[in-house]
Amino acid sequence: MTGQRRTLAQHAYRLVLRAAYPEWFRARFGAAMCETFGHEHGAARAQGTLAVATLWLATLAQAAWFGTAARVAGAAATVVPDRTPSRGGPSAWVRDAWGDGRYAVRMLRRSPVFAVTAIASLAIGLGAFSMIVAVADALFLQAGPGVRHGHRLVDIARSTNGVGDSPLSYTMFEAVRRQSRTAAVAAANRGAVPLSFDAGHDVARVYGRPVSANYFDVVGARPALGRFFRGEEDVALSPRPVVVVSHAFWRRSLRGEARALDRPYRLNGTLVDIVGVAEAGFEGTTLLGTDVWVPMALTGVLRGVPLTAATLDEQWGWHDARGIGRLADGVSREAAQAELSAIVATLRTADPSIPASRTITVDAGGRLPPRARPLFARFVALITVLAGGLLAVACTNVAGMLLARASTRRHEIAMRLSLGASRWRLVRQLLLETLTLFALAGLVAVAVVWWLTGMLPRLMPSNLPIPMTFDVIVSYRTLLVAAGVVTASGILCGLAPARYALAADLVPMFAGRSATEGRPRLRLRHAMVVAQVALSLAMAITAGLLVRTLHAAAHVDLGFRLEDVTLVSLDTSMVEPTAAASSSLIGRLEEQLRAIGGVRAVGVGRTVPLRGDSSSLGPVRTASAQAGAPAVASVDWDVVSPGFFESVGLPVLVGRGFTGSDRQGQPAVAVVNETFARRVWGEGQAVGRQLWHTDVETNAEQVLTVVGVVHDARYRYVSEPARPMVYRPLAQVPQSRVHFYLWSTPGRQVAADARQAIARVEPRLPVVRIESFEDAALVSLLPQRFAAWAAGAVGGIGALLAALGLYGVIAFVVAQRTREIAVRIALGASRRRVRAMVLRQAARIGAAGTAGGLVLAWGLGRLVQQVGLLIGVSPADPLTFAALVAATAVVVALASDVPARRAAGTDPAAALRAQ
Amino acid sequence: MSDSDMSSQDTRAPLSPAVFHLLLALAQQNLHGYALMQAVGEQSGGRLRLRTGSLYRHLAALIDEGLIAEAPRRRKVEDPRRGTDYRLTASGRRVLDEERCYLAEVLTALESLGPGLRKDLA
Repeated sequence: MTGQRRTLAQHAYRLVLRAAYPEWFRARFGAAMCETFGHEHGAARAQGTLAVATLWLATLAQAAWFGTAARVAGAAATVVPDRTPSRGGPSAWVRDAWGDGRYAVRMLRRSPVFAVTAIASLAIGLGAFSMIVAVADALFLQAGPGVRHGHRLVDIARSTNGVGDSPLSYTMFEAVRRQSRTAAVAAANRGAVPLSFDAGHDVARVYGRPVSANYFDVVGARPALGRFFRGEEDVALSPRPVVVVSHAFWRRSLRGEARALDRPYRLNGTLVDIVGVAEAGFEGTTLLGTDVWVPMALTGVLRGVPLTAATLDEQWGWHDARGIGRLADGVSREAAQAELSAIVATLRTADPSIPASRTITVDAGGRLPPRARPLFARFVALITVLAGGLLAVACTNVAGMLLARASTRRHEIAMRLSLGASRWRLVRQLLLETLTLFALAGLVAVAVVWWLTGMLPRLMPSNLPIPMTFDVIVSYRTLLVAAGVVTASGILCGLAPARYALAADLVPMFAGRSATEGRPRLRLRHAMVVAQVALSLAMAITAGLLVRTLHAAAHVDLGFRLEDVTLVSLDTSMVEPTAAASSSLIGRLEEQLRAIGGVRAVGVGRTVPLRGDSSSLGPVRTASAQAGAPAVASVDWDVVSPGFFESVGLPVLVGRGFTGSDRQGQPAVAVVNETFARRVWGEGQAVGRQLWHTDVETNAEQVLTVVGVVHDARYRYVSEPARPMVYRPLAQVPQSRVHFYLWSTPGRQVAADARQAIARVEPRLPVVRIESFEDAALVSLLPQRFAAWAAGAVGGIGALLAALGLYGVIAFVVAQRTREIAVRIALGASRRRVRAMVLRQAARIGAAGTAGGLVLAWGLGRLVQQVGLLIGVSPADPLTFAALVAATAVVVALASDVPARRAAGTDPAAALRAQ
Repeated sequence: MSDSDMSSQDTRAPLSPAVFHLLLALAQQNLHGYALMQAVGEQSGGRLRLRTGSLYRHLAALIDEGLIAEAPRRRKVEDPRRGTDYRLTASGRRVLDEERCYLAEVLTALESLGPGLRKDLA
């Protein structure tokens, strides 16, 4: 009995037969072929998987080729199969659909110019859209190459009363690492640390990332060569620290040699051994690239600081370490949050020095830091709208072409209808033709996206302060979305021509033409071109606004002076662990730096402006408000030295800045900015008022006296208007991670002198970074640059497509009216008048499109403004609008001029004869 | 290869290797599809390999040309899954005979080249 039962392979082969071969062939040979294939498959299986795979490949190829051949042979021998509805259940439906699909491909092959044009324009729209989807997917949903089961990773950070995203302390990390049952917890620096790497012959700048020993296990990375860290390498001092390098770094700087692991290297002067190479592609879980991974505990050693238990915690704070957790099977993020909160609560009880407000936060993991996600989301939404606009232009363009084609098929459709074909069946066939077109375009688009995503790392700007790794992998999600968009847009675009092909009466169709029949269709085509012009104009205006923004941003009043200011970043805790010694070191450094020739002023601050950073010392309320009353809404803080305001050119408007006498032991003072003063005290006097400040660390309340008001400055982003700001003197709020601002005479390069000066004061203190203030601030304009580029591309391509669409419509109208034009010319109308007539029609379409485009652009401009991308430019900027309306007029004139000339050149005799 | 090749051109000498081996195999005994496939493989020393798709494409063409036909079923045979057997028709034999004559002529022509070249060719 078993011998008669079909094997799985035979069942599959039967499906292949049904799909590929015509019915008459299957009736004759189907059963025998199934049997034979069963034997063949059995024999192949005995030979192994490769033979089976080869067999299937050959079988599928043969089925496709011979099946088609048999169909053509059969069709030639018999009557052309009826295209009227056939009854007989779902298999008949599938057969009909298959037939319709092949018919659709034949129709497209018959008009290659149309097919190529339509597919190309659709592929541009679909490609742009899919690219954005791929980027969004990579930013928000993918975990990065080499990271396994990224959806189970969580970001863990220290917070204050549940709010915030601060580095974990060493104690906190160790507690959760040891005690957590819901997640395996590792730690890694969020930023990469610049280090010098000495391979014996030359010294290179590399980016190192301190990680805990279990980091690679937790994120699921694998070594390509060697091993990762052992537990003891993260806690104990070793005479020869070990590091792990990235695959790209190994290939680039160590020439991809396995022997490279046997040699010693110097990292920031310390001898290290490379024990492993991470697998290709893996550079961590964030967007920031990594060359070298260093065990957390050894980062101090690399800097020449002896490692002691006392400095360990400090270093961790310095190092910006965040927790990365891998949730255990079946554990939710909420459960992990509850467990970790409980662990931290126990920690607080055990150690009274930990403030009661100290909490831990578990966020969904991702390549973006949790705080940056909303900003990126808004930005991606805007770009999606732009790409969607381009897709809409392309779709209307193709819909217009399809509509024109529908007119040429009136006869065919009328014939079928009169022969009894159901309208549903015809609609299905027309839709299938459109969908085939869209599917082909979708394939092209996906191929382009694949290529572009491969190019993306090379398109990254080179002047980023830190190396970025942004590998976009086209995932199944992207493909699903692309397929969905293809189907939806295909159906939408296919419906209009299908409707018009079917709506008309049969009689005038058979009559060949009619005066009234063409009107509604033409009106629809007009509407489509109007829509295209409108969309492209809106995109172009958006691009224009962004370009103006880039221009204006260079002139926007930031409040700071960027020119001639050099930024030197240091961390004094690396040599002076106590606050008092640290403060005195900063004072000595300030003095030495001020002594450099050409330096006009030196200031010290804690937060570098315009990088999206902000820091908080805690809530403030005015003295008049009752204790416990709501604080002044979200205040930004900076801690600065007396010379800060002068060095960055921030004028003190009322009262005074800080002086040397604002020390510890003296009354606590603060300087506020204009926005703060205005919001809290209105037009009233601010100097001399008091503020109640709750220290975020100690939870103790403190009275601050306002001694001055300074000019507003944009602290977080260029795009953001000034926020309420409170400055505190460095001497009263000691800091160790500080930035020196060196204002020098124009053209004076102070970097080298600054390094020497620092080395004179404290030779053990490494300079974290020296850069110009302009470079540091430049990064904040990247979103605008990218958006301007994207909107410009969309607007440009959109305008091209709209011009093509307009050209098509006008050419079509001219062709339709050839007879009328010929009669007019024969009756004495001048050629100039004929040309003007055609141009007038184009102008009407262009004007309607422009009107729509202006409205759309205004709305889009508001959106762009809300995303925060417009700086110093109104969303209704008249110059941009006027310039692009003029450009649209030129495009409309160019697109319609050729058909207009052709109309004017009509030879009446020939045209009338031809009709 | 276009689909018109499936018909008469294949059945005039010189035959295509697949058609030749199919006719040759059936000249010895009636065979079902898979046996035919194996026989062709053995005869050609494994050089010619037909798959199910290509086998039945040739069989369809040869049946339409009248060179082979379905043989009466031998139901009593041990393997009930074997399906249809095929046999060589009279015109099939004739075509095969023409091919034999053609090959003989070719061989004669080769022989006339003398032993030296024959050795080279071997």
